Amino acid sequence: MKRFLILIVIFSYQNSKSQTVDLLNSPLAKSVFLDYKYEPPEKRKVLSFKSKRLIAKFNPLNYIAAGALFVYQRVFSEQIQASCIYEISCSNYTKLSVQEYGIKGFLSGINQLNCCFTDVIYDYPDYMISSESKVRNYLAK
Amino acid sequence: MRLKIRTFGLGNCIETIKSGKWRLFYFIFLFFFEPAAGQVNYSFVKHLSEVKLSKEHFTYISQQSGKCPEDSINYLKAKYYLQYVNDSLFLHFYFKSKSLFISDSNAFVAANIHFLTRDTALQKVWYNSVPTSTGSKKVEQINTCYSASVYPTKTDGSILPIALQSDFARYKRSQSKKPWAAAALSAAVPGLGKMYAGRKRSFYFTFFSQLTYGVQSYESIKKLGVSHPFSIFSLSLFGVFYAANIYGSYQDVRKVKKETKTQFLINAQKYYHFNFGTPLY
Amino acid sequence: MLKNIIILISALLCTEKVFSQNEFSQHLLMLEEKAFLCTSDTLRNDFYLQKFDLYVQHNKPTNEAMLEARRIDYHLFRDTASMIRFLWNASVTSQLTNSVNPAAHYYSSYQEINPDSSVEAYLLGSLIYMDFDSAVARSFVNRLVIKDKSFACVSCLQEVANYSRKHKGLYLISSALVPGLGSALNGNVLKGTTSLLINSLAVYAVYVLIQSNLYFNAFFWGGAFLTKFYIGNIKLTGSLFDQKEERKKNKLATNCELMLSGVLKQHPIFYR
Repeated sequence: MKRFLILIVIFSYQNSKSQTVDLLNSPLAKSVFLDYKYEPPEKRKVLSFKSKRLIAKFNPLNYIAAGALFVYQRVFSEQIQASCIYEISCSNYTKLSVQEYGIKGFLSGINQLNCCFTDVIYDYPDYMISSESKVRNYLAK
Repeated sequence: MRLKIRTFGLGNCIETIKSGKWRLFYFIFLFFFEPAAGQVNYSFVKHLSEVKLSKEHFTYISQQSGKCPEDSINYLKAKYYLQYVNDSLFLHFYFKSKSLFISDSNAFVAANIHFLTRDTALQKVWYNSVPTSTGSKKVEQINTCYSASVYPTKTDGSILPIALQSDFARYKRSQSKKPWAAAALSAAVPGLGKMYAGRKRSFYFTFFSQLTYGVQSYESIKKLGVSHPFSIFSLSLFGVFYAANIYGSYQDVRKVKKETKTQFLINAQKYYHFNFGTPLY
Repeated sequence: MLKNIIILISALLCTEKVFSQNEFSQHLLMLEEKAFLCTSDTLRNDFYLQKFDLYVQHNKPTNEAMLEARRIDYHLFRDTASMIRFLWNASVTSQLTNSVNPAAHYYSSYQEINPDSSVEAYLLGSLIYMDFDSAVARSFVNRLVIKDKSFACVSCLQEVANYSRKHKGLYLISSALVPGLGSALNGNVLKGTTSLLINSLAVYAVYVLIQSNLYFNAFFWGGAFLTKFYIGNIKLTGSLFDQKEERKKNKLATNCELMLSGVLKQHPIFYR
């Protein structure tokens, strides 16, 4: 038991010593390369109806919308290098809206797509414009 | 030694010393070991606040607990959380030191300005707690502005400062608009409901895109017939966008109501901060 | 008995940080109070230095430490040793908090007052100047290599900073001539093929619409989609090119970080 205690003391001392070196030098090495960190673009997920009611789960229209959005986001969005004036892009907004409000959400998303032009920014009050000159949109029923 | 000690919050206080012969020793002990009931060094707190040394500021206030009256400590904590924006903690300590906090006009005005743009629930708690007659004209003006934002239709805009009147007029106008009227207008002329809501450019885009969808559907029906798959596709596309424009106009009116209110309060906060804003300490 | 000792040791190990944290804050406050009450600028400066040193002793290169460093006027120090020590510690802290300009300022002042040719000083110099002035960083690396050939690996810093892929225009032109070609040449064959397929389909759709005398539809779909797909394919090539460059840079950076960590293990930089 005594040996065990001595080991604990030695281990904790060693640990604290190596931590002191590591606390400074490892972050120092990292600090130089912060600008070179590459994060691959996030893969968009398929619309989920897990938390929805049974009717929604068996509604084929939901799956058509989910499939169309998935194909658009995975293939077409990249192919046209889509850039949206809204912070939550039109396709993402539609996806989130459908997930939250169903058919109303779908109409809401299409409505945003209908008004997705640069000049629309002037229709919104100042506080809704982000520093990247995008409209801060939010989900609404 | 039988000392009956009773705790008042954070500070320990001797209530009774029953055994008389130990009393002298007790006072000698107090003289050497008990820290003297200190006073808060307000100029030092001001300095900490100005240099934004939040850690030291917090430690100092915590250190004073038990040495100073609890009311003063709560007041200092309330001011601390007002500066370092923690609304719920601020309100917690404000209620514990209400009279002291209200007597500090700078801090009270600052808190009133601060809550103009905060979370609705906490905002309500704050403005409901403000006494009706504080004696401060600045606070009264800010409160008038807040009640104007809550009851826009009942408020006459002329009682507000001139700089805020146009924002308030826009907000008041938006409150009288009906979402169903916007939907009906958009059903008649695509996008018109958006114009009614106050979104001119959205109207142009919606109107022209609907026009284009309509014309291309018309062309395909005329040349290929209504049962042709392409005509059905074109028509459904037109239908979906048409329905979306109606629902979107309905929604836009509701959104505009919220947006104009928030913008009015943000501008009011900027205005009062510029005109009434004084250092917290 | 043994059981109690074990409990005591574990309690000490677990609560050590909590107590030291409390003590640290108290100490900071005490020094701030002294500085506040002080009437002499020199003395006040000394208290600020003590506060900064406290962060240094506790290995806390935080923004608060930087705030303290900025309050210090190092010209007011009575002895050069304190000044040198402060400038070194301030450069390390600035580098760790990613304050590029202050780091370069403190380091250059440090070298001016105390020309230091130690390995650690050159290493720190090369790290600080990599983001600030690559020519100066290169000179530090060269000096390190002159000292010891094993430091040649530090030159990877330059490779990372200067790396860029060439002939971007060529890829873009290829995509403009044949949709998707530039992307395919870049290594993204699937995306390139998709571009080609989508553009061909869009052209075919417009052709079919014209054939069916649906001129407005042809104009509408062609204008809305064909141009979007065509311009999109060129933009896609550009973005894929940039992504590949970033990935390569990231790879180089990761390798360099490993090498640098190795060097720093052998020649660790400490606060002084």
